[in-house]
Amino acid sequence: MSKTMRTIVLKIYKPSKIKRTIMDEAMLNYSKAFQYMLDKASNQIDAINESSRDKMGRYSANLILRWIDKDMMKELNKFSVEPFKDSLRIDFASALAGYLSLKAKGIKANYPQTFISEDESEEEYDKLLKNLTENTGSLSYIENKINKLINKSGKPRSLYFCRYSKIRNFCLLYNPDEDKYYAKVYLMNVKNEKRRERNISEGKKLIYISDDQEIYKENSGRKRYLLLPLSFGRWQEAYLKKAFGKPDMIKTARLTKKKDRYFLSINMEMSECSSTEYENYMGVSRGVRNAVNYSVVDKEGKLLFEGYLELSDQKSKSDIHKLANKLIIISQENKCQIIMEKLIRVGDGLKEPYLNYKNYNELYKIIKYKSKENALSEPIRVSGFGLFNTCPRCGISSKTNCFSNRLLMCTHCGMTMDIDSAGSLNLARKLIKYNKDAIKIITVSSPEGIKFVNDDIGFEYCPGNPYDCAEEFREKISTLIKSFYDNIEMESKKSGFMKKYSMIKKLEDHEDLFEVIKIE
Amino acid sequence: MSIFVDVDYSSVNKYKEELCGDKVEVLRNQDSVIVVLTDGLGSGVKANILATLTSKMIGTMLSLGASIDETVEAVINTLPVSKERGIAYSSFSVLQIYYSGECILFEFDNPSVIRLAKGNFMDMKKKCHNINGKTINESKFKVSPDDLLILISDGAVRAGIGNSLDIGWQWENVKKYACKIYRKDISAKNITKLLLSVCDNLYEKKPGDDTTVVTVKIKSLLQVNVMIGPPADRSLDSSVVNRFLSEKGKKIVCGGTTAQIVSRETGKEIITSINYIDHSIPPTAKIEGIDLTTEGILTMGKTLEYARRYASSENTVEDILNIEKEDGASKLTKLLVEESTSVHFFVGCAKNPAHQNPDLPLSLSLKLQLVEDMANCLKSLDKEVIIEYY
Repeated sequence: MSKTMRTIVLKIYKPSKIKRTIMDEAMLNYSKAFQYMLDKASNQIDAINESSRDKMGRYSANLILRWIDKDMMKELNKFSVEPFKDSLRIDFASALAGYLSLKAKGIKANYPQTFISEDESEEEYDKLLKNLTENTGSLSYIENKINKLINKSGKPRSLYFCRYSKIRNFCLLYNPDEDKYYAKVYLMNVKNEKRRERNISEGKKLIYISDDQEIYKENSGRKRYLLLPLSFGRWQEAYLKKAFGKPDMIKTARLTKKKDRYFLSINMEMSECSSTEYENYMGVSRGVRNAVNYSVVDKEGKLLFEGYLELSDQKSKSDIHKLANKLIIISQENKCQIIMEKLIRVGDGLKEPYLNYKNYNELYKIIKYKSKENALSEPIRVSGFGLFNTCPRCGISSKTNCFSNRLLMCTHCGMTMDIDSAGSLNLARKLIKYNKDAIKIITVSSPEGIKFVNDDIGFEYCPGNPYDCAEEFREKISTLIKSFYDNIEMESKKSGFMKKYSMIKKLEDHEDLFEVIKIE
Repeated sequence: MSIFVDVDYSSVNKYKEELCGDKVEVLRNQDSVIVVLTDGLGSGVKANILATLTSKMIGTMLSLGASIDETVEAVINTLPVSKERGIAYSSFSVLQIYYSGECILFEFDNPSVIRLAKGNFMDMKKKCHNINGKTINESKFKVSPDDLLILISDGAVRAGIGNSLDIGWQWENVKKYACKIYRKDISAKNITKLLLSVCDNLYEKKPGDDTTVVTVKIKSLLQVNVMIGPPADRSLDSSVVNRFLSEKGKKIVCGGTTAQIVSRETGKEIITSINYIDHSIPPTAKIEGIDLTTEGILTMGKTLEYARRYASSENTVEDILNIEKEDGASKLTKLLVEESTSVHFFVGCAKNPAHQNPDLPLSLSLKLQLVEDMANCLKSLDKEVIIEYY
């Protein structure tokens, strides 16, 4: 059973002025400390680069952590980050590992800058203007830099909590009487004057979301943590309820601030159930009239039903999530294997589609992880080439089949169909067609006699008696398959490997190989 | 006679109507082929009667020797007009194609005939006549082999209204589609079937109006010669083969023994294919100088089945498309029903020893019956058929 991470975002419900101040201070301190580490690291970046690669040549956050020695840890105390020093180290190491990886790949990446104070940003602003007047930088470059400066100036980085714990970092609590949830976040050190003795009103019962479901008790003494009420939707609530039964699924969190509102983003580890066996195929394609069209066919390719789903003009991420949820439900109810278009290098030729490539690919990603959680097979992506000009009845694919950008009119069999429906139906039948498509073995005349050839799989066979060679033919194919797997490392480096591999698999999977080959 | 005029037509009735309000007449005489398409006003029985009366009138006059323009004038003068709608009770198109290639066309209130020359649309110059307040368009032009003339009724132009197309398929789009589907070897039947299939699909299988398509394809004469079975008298092998090979047109050999005889007499090798495209049909072979060499009875039996389905008035698009396959029976069917304008059978009457086994249901009479049935089927498709027995 594999695992996946899910992030749920919970809003901090109407924090008081003092709580806001505490959170702002904590995030500011965190950001300053983070930037301090970045500044230190930039002077030793070459050394860090050298020492932080693992045996496979990849940058490891764990190795970068070794650079952060005891002295540095002591220096960080000046930023009052004691409650989250561990988290800070891990967050920093991950960020730096990410930056070094990008650089190693040759991708253009600026050295990370997480925080700039308002004074520093003013200084930087003056420098940029000077560059402009002295013509040492282009207008667009300076404009870009100034925009980044505005975005970063005085704005803190989100505060990372690296573990779920009742006594440090963060955890969650539940009030059964009011059906409310709270976050307990450690933000203050022992010297912080804003610590309070009391965090909740008397008589309120809070239970830890933990294995022992311990009841929260307020002991004497001033607390280094805040208890923050949370607000969220039903979708997030479902996950919190899951966490109640299995608290170890809560891993890490981040405290963020956006437009004067505070959020706690919690990362949860989801165990995926093993997929249920599918009985049908569901093609989900882009549409012209609607956002997506879907067609459900049985394993023989017979259309069971079809439909479409609409989307608002905004096409926001949340809208696409809702679309994905609906498709998951249909797929679950009908035990479908979802098939979608692979819109990366090659398109589907659809004119004026409702969803652009980005939206559609986003939909795919969302369906991919939702399907794991819902015990469905991951969606399979296939080429979208020719999807909307292939006749679903006779299978002929031709640009002449497009009557208009909404209607398909086959020039081979006279079939007419809405292009949206044709696309999703063709998509739903793609795997069936692929499985049915025979591997062509060409017969050629040669001085030795008739030869059977297929260049894609590297097959060449000249039988003694071409009219009676079925057994020998089978043996030759078996030898070819064995040789392929014995030399798979070498084969994988050759061009056309994937095509050859899929053909070999097809030959292997069929008991009677003559069912999947066609001699021409 | 220098050209062959291949005519095919088909209709779909208005939804829930038993009778079609369109009528087609095809008249063949010594020097020309006349095609008449009439469209009765309204639908159902009344429209059928009106269309039939008009087409019969035209057909009778022409077959009794009247000229086309006299016929048209006579019909127009007598054609009643609906008092309510102010239009004639029937519209019509009359097309006469002489075997020399000269054509004359009269159109009254029907959508214009679509003319394609080698797949390209050709506009026709029209001369307008006003007879008794009605406008008749006359066109004169010349056609060549591979040219197409497509007559359609109003139902085709309106296909899709209220469904997938707001203002119907429209004449311009019918013309574009015809240009798209054109290929040199496409048959009149194929085109009729395709256009009608589109109309039926646009109407979502519930036609809003009677829809008829008539396709006229001009073809060069092509005789297809079929030698099936060895001669009863072995001493005639050489003369029969020589006669067969001396015939103009395409040559087909059916049967293993027959192929061996041809191979022996010509000195050309038989190259057998090992490709079983269809497991129920034996593979074909190749002999230099012969266009197609197939197995005998099984292939001919399958060919007859395909040909009957092709010729049937209830054929489907699949029946037409099936003969495009690569197996022996499909290839033979295509040559006989689509490519040929005449067919000459050379039927050998030798008894096949294998067929004399009482456990097998096959006999010489079966072969002869197959050929007879095939000949009848081909005649129904307006092919000229000759059978010679040896």
